[in-house]
Amino acid sequence: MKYSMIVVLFILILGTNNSYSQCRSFAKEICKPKLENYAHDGNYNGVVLNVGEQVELHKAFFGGQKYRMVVCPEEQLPPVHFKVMNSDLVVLFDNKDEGYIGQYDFELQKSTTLIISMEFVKMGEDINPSVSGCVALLFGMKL
Amino acid sequence: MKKIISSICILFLLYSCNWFSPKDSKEKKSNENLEQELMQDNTKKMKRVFFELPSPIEISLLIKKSGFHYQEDLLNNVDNLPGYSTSVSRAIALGVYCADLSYASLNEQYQTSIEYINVARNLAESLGVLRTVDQDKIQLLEDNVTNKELIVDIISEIYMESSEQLREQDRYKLSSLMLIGGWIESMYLATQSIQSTDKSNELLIQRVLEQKLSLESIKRVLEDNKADPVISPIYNNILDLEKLFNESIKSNPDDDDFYAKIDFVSFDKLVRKISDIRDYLIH
Repeated sequence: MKYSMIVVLFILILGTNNSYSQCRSFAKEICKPKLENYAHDGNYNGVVLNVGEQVELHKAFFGGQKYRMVVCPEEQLPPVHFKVMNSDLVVLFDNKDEGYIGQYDFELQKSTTLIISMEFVKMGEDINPSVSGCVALLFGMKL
Repeated sequence: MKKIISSICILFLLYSCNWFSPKDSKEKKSNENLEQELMQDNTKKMKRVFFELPSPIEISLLIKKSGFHYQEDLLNNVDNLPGYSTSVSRAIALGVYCADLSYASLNEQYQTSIEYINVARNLAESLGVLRTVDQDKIQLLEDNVTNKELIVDIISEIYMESSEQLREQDRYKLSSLMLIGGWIESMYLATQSIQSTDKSNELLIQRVLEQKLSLESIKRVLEDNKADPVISPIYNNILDLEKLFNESIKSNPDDDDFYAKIDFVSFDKLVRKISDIRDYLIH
């Protein structure tokens, strides 16, 4: 009995951490190559996103530096709707206007903090509310 | 009793796939409540908020592009490595050496870069971080040591794998210390060559002061553990640094004369404070 409890706890821990490491592997193997000739900055933003949930990332960007942002959902997931806003919540880019494209190249004139918000595209009332999976957000810079 | 404990374990197992450790802005709801929420007009959404620091690679790139000349003697000496015997000191040192590595590689100091790559990988392994870099890339590097893009790619993998694997192992404090170590070292490298009265340093001074934008993210990274005896002095130092950033930038940022916008007395204190924090971290 004692050993079966230990096995259950072991599976519990493995199950939880495995999804995070799978997301990290997904980001590295599938998402990172989409940066192409932009050097990855070394930061990792991978979340297990659920339907109806929104994720926001706040990050400083520096004027005069060329950036590429890639947003990659796992293959079986709906497309991701993302917006890039300044700290006054003025929308600078909305991928809805570009067919839910998964990347955005930009350069700012002045350094500032931007807010990137992400959620799954709403596909109508028949969307399965239990859908969830890894969405990676990576940034690259021109050297 | 054993049956009750087993039942609880099985229930936790069933829910474990939906657990997520980073900060949630709201508590998890039952499936029934989630369905109700989805049926509403969507005025309220479950939202998670993250804050990100600039990486050492990014700050080193900004330094390089501002015309800053490389100085090897600013790097944290690899001879200090044996002194990092605790997991806390190793995590901080890993961030510091990643910053040194970024600085050296972007300045095309290839031999130093190779040396610091090995130091960083060994430190990461000592912290239980496995396979920081694909072996194929290491082999490629051995065949072409002057490939700057490849070196930067390797640095980004070491940094990403180290910080994330520490988080996945529920060692958030160590991950945070690594990030902070990297940021402080990058700021140290940027500030140590500034001659505040030299007009050619204008762009670099500007880049340093722009790092004020990162302070909010830094405070968020440290906040959850700010009562921790290791984190507490670092957090307080960051608050002091924030005051000096504010004092360094005068009240009229739109003044066309760059030097009229800067309080150089406060800026010099800022540079010294960064140096003091760096010394605290590496010793």
